[in-house]
Amino acid sequence: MNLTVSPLNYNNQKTAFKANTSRIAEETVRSATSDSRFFSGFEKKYDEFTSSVAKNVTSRLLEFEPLQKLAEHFKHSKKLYQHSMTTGSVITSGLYMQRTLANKDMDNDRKKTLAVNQGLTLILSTAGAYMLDKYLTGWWDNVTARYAGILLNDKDFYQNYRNQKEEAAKANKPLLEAMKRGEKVKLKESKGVLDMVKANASYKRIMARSADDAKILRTKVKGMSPLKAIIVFGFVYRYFVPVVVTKPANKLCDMYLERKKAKENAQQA
Amino acid sequence: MKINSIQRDITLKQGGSGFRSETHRERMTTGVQNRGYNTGYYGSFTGKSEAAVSFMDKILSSKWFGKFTKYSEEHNVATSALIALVLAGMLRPATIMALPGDKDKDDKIYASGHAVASGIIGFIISTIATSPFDESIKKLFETDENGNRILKGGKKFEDLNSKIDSLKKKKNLSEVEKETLKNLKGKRGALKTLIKWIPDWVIGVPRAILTIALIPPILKYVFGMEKKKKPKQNIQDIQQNNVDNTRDFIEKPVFSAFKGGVK
Repeated sequence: MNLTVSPLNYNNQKTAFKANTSRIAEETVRSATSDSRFFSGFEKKYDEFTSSVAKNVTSRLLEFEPLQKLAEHFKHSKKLYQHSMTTGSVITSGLYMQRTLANKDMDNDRKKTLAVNQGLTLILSTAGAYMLDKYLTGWWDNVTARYAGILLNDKDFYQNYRNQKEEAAKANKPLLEAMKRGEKVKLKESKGVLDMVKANASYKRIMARSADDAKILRTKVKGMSPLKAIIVFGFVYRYFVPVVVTKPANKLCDMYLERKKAKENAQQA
Repeated sequence: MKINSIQRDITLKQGGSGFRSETHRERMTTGVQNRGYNTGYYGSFTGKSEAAVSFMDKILSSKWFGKFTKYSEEHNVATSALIALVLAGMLRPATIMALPGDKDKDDKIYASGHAVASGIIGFIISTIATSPFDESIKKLFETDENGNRILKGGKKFEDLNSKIDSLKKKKNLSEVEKETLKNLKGKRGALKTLIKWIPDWVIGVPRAILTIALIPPILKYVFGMEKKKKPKQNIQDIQQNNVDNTRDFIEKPVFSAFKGGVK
C-alpha cells in the first residue's frame, strides 16, 4: 500500500477565533477606566487642576510684557526650540559654576580655572549642537515629508516635496549670485511640509470627515520639528559632553594648574 | 507500508501567522480605524516590494512613532527628559562600561549607576512638573470639536487671537493683510513655544539641586551601590598627595556633578 502524506504547514493554520482582539482590548480598557469611579474622579480633579493652572498661571504669564516682546522678536525664528533648550542649559550650568566658585574645599586658583572650564565647555558644546542641528535640517525635513506621506497614505507626497524644494533651489541660484553682487532680490521660498500637508487632497478629505483626526495628523507632523532639536541637543549635552568632552577638558585644566604651580615654585626658588 | 514524504514546513514563506486577529483590509473596513489615512501602515510607501521597505519607513509607519511625535509636540520638556533618560540612562552607561581604561570596574559601575539615576530623577521631576502646565497651554491655545477655544486667556492674548480669527475669515486677503496674518500667527506660535519652556527654566535650578541630593540615596537603596571611601592615609602620603592633589578634584562631588551644559 502506498500512502502519501501531504506537507504540513502549521503557519497556515488559522485559529477559529477571528474576533478583532485589539478592538476588544481597547474597549475593555475604555470601559474599565470610564466605569471606574477612581479614574473618573481623578480625571475630573486633574481637569479642574489644569484649568486652574491655565487661568491663574499660564494666562497671566502670556500677558507678561517681556514674554510678549520676546515672542514678537522671535516670531519668524526657526530655532526657537534650540534657543529654549540652550537657555535651560545655561541656567543649569550657571548653577554648577556658582557651586564651584562657592566651594570652600578648593583654592581660589582652582575654583576660577574650573569655572572657566565649565563655561567654555558649555559654549563650545552649544556651538557644536547648533552646527549639528543646522547640518541635519535638510535631511530631517525630507524625513518629515516621508512621514507626512505615510500618514496621508500618499505615495507621491515625498517626491512632490523634494521636487518643489529642488525647483526653489534652482530658481534661487542666480538670485543668490545677484545678492552677492549687492542687488536687492526676493528669494523664492520652498513650501514647508506642513503647508504642503494642508494643501494635500488626502488631508482635505480627512478634514472633511473629521477635524479631530486632521488635527492629530497635523500635531504628529509638527512634532517632528521639536523632536530633531531635542535629539540633537540631548545627544550633545547628555552624551557627547559627559563622555567625550569633560575628561579631556579636566585634563587640560589639570595640566594648566600643574604648570602654573611649577612656575610659581621655580620663581620662589 | 511505504510513506513517500512527510514534511513539516515551519518556515514563514507559506503564509502569515494564524494568530493575527485581523488583516489590514479588515481593519480598514471595520470603520473603527478607517479614518481616511493609514494608521497601521505597513510600509509600501515607495512602491517597492514589502521585503525592500527600508528600516526608516518601518519606524516612521509604526504606531509608537506616531504617538511619540504627538507627545513630542504637546510635551516638549518631558520629551527632552525622556530622550535624556535614554541617552544618560542607557547609551552613556553602555559606553562607560565598554570604554577601556585604568579605572577599576567598581568605579565604572558607580559612574554608570550615577548616569542612570540622574536620568531617571530628571525624567520624573520634569514630567511631574510640566505635564499639568502643558495641559493648561493646550486648553488656552487649542479649540474643541466645535472650533471654540477651550479656555480664554487675558486681554493681550485674546486681542491677538481675535485679529488672527478676523483675518482668517476674510476672503481675498491683500498682500499686506497676508503679511500681517503671517506675523500674527508667528507671534502666537513663538508665544506657545516660549511658554512651554518656561517651566523648564524655572525648575532648572531646584531640579539640579534635587538630582545631586537624591543620587547618593537612590544609588544606595535602589541600586545597592555606595562610593568606596578611600583608606586613611598617613601624614607622608597626605604631603605627597598635596603636591599632586590636582588629580583629586575630579572626584569631588561638585565636580562629579558637573556634566557640561547638562540638565
